Amino acid sequence: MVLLSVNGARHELDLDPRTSLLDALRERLGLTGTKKGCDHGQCGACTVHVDGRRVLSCLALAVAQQGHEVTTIEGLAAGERLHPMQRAFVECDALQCGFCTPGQIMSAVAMLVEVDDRRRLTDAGIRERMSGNLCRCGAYPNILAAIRRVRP
Amino acid sequence: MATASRRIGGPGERVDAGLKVTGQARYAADVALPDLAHAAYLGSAIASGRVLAIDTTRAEQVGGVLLILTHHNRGPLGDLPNGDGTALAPDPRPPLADARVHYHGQFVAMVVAESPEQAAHAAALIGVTYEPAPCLVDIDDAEAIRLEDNPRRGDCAAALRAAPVALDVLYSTPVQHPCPLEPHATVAHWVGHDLVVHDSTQWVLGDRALLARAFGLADDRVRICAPFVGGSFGSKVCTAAHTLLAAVAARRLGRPVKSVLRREQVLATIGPRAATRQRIQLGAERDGRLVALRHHTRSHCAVNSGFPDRDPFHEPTSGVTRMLYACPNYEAVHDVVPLHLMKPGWMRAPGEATGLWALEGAMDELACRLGVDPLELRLRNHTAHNAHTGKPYAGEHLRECYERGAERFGWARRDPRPRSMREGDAFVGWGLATATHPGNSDDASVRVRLDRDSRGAYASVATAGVDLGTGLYTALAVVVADALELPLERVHVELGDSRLPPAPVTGGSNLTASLAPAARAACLQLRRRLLGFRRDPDELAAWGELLARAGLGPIEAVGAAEPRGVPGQYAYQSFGAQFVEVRVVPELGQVRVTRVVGVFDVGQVVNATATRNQLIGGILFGLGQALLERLVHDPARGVPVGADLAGYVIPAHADVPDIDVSWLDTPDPAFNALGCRGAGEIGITGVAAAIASAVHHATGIRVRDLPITPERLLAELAGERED
Amino acid sequence: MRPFAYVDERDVAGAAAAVHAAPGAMFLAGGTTLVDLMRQGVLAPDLLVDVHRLPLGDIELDDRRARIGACVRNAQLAEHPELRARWPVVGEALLSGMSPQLRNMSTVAGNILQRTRCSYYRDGHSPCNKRVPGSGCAAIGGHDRDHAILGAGPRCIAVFPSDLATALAILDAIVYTRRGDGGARRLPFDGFHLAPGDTPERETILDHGELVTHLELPTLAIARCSHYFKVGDRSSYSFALASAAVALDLERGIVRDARIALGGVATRPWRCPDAEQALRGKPAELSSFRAAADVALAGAVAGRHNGFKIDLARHVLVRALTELAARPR
Repeated sequence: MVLLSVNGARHELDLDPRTSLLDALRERLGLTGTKKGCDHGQCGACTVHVDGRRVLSCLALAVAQQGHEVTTIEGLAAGERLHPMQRAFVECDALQCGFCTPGQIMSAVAMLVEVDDRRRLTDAGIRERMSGNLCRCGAYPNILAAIRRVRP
Repeated sequence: MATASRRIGGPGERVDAGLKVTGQARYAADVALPDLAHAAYLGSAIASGRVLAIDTTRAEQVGGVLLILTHHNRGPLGDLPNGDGTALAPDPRPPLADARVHYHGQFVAMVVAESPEQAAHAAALIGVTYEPAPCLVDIDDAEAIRLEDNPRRGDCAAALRAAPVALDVLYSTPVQHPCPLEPHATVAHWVGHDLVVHDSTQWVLGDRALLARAFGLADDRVRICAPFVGGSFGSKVCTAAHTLLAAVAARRLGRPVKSVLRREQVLATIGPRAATRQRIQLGAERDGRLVALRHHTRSHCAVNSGFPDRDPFHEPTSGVTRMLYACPNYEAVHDVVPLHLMKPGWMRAPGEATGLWALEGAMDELACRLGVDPLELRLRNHTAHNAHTGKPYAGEHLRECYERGAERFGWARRDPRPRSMREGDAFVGWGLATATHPGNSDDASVRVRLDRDSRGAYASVATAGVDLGTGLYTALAVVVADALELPLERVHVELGDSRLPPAPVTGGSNLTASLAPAARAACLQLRRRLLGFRRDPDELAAWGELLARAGLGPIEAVGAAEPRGVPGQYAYQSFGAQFVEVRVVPELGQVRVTRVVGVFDVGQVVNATATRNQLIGGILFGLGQALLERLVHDPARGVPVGADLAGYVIPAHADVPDIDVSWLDTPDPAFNALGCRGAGEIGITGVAAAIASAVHHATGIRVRDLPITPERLLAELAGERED
Repeated sequence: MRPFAYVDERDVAGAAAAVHAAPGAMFLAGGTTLVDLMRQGVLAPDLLVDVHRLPLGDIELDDRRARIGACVRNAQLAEHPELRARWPVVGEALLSGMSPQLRNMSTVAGNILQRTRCSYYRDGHSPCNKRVPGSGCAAIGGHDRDHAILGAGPRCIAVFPSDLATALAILDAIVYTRRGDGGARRLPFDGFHLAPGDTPERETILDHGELVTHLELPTLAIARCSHYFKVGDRSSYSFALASAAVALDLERGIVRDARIALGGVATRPWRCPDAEQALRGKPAELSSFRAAADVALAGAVAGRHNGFKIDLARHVLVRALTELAARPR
């Protein structure tokens, strides 16, 4: 049995060791907000937080996550109230098809935590730090605008 | 009640954004059903030949395996419709039809198991013995089929011979892939004898027609659901092999089956944009006016697609070269080369994205040759009617696009000499190109239902059309809210279900242009029915009150896209102008796009927010086409090389410059009641040519072979040294 | 992916012994290479020994050296302020490549042990001597655009992709290991990676069950003046088409000492001692840098599609040296 802690809830699962964290979230816990875009760690659509850091859930084995706290897009909002980054994505139209969006948002939230001084974060700096999250629709300029809106 | 269009054309949040930012939007692969089984596929390890034997013994022993399908046991399927406009299959043969192999990665076996891990592992354990045959994957190295009925006007050969100025250039594009971020996915299940399919498709009715035929069912026994699709860009038009096989397996097992392609399978089994070789010959007067244009294209098709009789699709490069510029003598020739590759399909602006790369590149070369400003050259060849059909455009504002774009970009300050601008060690260059895409629309219908609750009236809008991220949810909500004078949040839109009123494929930038007028027509019917219940014509009564007064329950109307004015009187076309700035460090092979200005005429814009986003997205597709994207196949074995998102490189955040997108507010009322044309594809058109022109302006290096990668620039530099 | 057993180890010796005892066992750390290649069927261990919780996650610094635990995340290493001051090339190399998510997951040891990006290796079915010894090399004569121009052999031309390893190659780094039989080794980084030769499947001198425990960077004055420069297909998040790690010791405009390694172009981290020698005593100016770059690439051999990398690597090296020499000191 594997004990997974996701969005503050604990789940005891009988898991195949081969199961990725991504597949455990999607297929076993019904948390389908986290997306599988490539399954190779190349697109960022599966980005979640593990102990507050952004990681790629497609390359993480679920069985190795015991004792770590996983946060997904479903755990970001406080009840009905959207996280400021989610709100900014809506307001800045930082999406089209929406498939990369949960990963972009999870990545952006963690990115702002990684930076020592957010105010010194330039547009180029944001673009560089977000380059692990691909968006084929090309909503990049609006994603940048959304992140700037959240950055104090 | 006045019908002031307060919302149409204005900004506004995407109505489905809330679901998308919280992870609640349900895409096909998100569908969870009790007892769901999981599919995996084994692709062919050869590109041409036959399967001699398949050994499934080891795979069958894997725990949890429920079913293994090969061409020996797939069972009967009906003929697939193709080319009759109702549906499209990428291969005229159903999947697992026989032992023949026509491209690398073609499915040779399907495994269904209790878990995705078991299915994938079992698929890898299937042993296949092949009889390989020689494979052809190089478009330059195989025999072509010449198309008949190529468009022509005047006497192109004679005019080219007599022209004072002549240009003869070869432009190339590689195989490129739409590569949406959502891999193609299907969940199929049977409810009694009825088939229900959750699919990532841009055409639920095409899916329905194909699956109904395959299983010998009446259309209404098949239901396709696609409320959210994670991008498509042309790649989800056909009903692909994995969708058919999921339905086969689900029926065989009596269980729902989920079938999601791996990224490498998307790149190997879903149709790409065909490679092209385009020879452009221009004949011009000394002032730059064109007198002759010959466009000879070579593009590829698949050996198995039944080209040309069964499926005549080929990358339609000459669609745009024949109509864009005034030119009395024109001839197109098209050779199609069958290769052992997946059948090419549609990728954002098929024909325009490739054809304009060649034509606009050649126009820039002509401008350089003549010493004429590239913008001035376009103006001298401008035409207010379709140059090939002679029909006038109902709405045509290309000159204004050029003018406004030039002003926003600062084009007048351009020194035409290559290498005239530097910034640090980078050469800076400016380029431009024309953008264009036809105004398309199709038969479509939308149902609008008006009802009331304690808060008053609300509308429910429904159509089978699919929102691929295009903003259709928002566009229809805006149109209905506007026509019925309701708050936007009192309009609920339901999309992407084959049981809803019929809509065409989301393709060719046609859907908003077809469905928005249909939605409006439905609203107008509802208004007419309710307005009779006013006490007097000047009464301002809320719909909810009128509904109550009429003693009616909910009322509904189905609106259809009205036919265009006088049939055949006008041509409908969107135009735009793309201006690009690049910084190039030639010895490092680096090209960075630093600024883009795009000005477009797409008729009436329905929702400014989504339109802006979509036009920018189109431009970034063009940036990828220009600088990054190519799908390479190993010349000897036909295997896709680097078939993932590290090998098939698409733009990332850091590649994206400031993009200034705007449009003229110019409704095209002869086109439809709202005067709106689509905006999904025009954004990509012209971008690659504008970037290549800017690279030439920056460095003097002319690249005619996409993408503009380091090796191309370095080869040119090495050539310069030898000269 | 083939089924495997999973063991979560908390003890260094235990982890090494566990892998040592099972011929089909492998260490799992960040998983960013291993999980991907297992899913592709390229690697098929039957036992994974998870080492990510081993007490190897610290960076210790003193005047003599940096001692970096094998399980330090690449993000930790890249962002360490003192490390960035004393060995700037390390942070620059790490930030030039992987996405932030990958940097958060992957470990320092995993980085220097990462596998090639050769598509024929990774596709799981093409002939590949590295994946299936003796099966041939589809890259030779195939689409070799991304492949090696230095250090290639008749059996393998795959590029070793690690940016970090390219940086470590100029820093006299030491790799410390714990062996499955309880022994320990101290391995100079130079020589840690193997040329493909007749055994391209063997990429390092590590034995089965030998666990990397630490990397050591000795304090080097020249390392304070070091730099990494890279060109990939994309502006960010790309593997190198060519990269250079360089360090310079300058006195009054003359190169007293130089360190040079190339990445993205060779079958292993590629130190260029001849080019370093060519720079010593020369003025720190473009002509010297060009001459050194010519020396560095003198032995390069082009295949069908990767000839451009010879020029590109030359320009990249010149650029790296030029930028470094222009830095305020």
